Amino acid sequence: MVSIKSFFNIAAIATVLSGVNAAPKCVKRVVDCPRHHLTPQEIEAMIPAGNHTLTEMVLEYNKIWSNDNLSFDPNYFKNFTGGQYPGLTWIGCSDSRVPSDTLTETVPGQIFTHRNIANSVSEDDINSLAVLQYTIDELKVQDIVISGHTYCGGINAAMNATAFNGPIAKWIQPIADLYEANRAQIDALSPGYERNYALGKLNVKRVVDIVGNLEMVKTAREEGQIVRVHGWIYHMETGLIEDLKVTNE
Amino acid sequence: MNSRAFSTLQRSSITKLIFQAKPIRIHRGYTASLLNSIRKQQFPPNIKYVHNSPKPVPALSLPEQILKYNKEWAKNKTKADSSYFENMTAVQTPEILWIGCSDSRVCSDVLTGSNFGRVFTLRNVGNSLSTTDTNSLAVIQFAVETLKIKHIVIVGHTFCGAMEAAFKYNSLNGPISDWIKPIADLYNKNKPTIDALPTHKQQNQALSELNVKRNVDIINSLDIIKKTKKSGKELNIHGWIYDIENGSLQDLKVS
Repeated sequence: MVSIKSFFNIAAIATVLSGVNAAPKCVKRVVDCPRHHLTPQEIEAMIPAGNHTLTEMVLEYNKIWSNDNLSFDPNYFKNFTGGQYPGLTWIGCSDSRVPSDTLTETVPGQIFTHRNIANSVSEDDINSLAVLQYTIDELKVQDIVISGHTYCGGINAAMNATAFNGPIAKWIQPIADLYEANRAQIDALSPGYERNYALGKLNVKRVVDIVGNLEMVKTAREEGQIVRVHGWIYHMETGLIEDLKVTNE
Repeated sequence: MNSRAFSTLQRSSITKLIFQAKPIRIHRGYTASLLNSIRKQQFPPNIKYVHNSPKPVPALSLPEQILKYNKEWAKNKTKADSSYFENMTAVQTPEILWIGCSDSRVCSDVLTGSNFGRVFTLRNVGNSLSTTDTNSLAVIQFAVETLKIKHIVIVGHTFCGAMEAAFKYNSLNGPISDWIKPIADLYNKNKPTIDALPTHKQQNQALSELNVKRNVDIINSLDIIKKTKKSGKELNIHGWIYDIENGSLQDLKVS
């Protein structure tokens, strides 16, 4: 005779077994989702052959990527229409080898991103200040990450600032000044990677200090809002992020 | 065995017994069936074995999560291709400059598969450009002069917060007010057309598309772009819109 307790046990087991083949919803990061998500390489292989320009290829890639997500969960994108609630603001470099969304293993909706040459912020640049103001006032994000990287072209440009003119020269001037102020120390290192890494770290620290001392950040902190500013360096040669431990909070 | 015969205290004692139980030595005279019935008394089948669960791990903040998962990402990438990162350290040769919005839902790297060093990225609030903004002009100059980029794509998107800010421009102050002003002016110039649209989503999308067109015009008017095109180098400007509701990029054909 089947007792009530064993009936519920059987019901529980049946529910679990029926759930095994149903795909759970992706809520955390890409690798937590079941394997039927296509990898970028798999999507590339599915792009129909033909004479595509690069931008046509990107549009084809995107079509396959969005269908993959929709076949997995028809409401995948509709979940985003209610607004964005990112947990972090990333101020990084425009460099094509530093894809911030991929190397952080995050899913869409997690990181509010500003990318410019050599991940710089200055008090008279309304572009980056607007990003920070939106972050603090509107999105109320608690963590801001300034992320530099090794082999940075902007840092190299700052060490040869006289070779440039136009907007780039103006933009990298603060980093060039930083280089001049630390020239003896940096030039003592071997040229190439070592000097780039050293100036990159100093630049990240410089930007962390600028952001941490902005009026809008001070005001938000006085009103009780948490604003932490972290400084990281992405090591392109290993794919690893290094926390420089210069957090301003 | 009826599980209702055991109280919670008895069950925890049984659990302790299970983990402390020594293996039964087989002695002469014990048959297999007798041994089985002894085992059933030690391991009653209907009992749910409650283990001491490990202490719950406190939730990581997103930066801590990223630092942790980035290590796994790097390890997996290296396992699949041991020279993947070494190859990345060569000089970058992207062919596309993406000028998009900072919005967290519009991950340019993910939706274009650009983790192959393909896309040089500028992301700011409202994917906006102006002829006086050193920040974006420096990116464009570097892309065109140094990297010899062949395509510039300006990507707006639906449900854009910058368009919402433009709709309520008078309530803004600080840097964001200066930044949004060109988009607010664009809205005021096209107010009747935009306000006539039935839903708020359509109004936001209409302004976003007009903004993309505005930026394409700004880029085409820059000296550096004119010079590059005149010298015969390949340089194409595109305007796209990303629909957040279905994840698809559409070409607005405003080149």
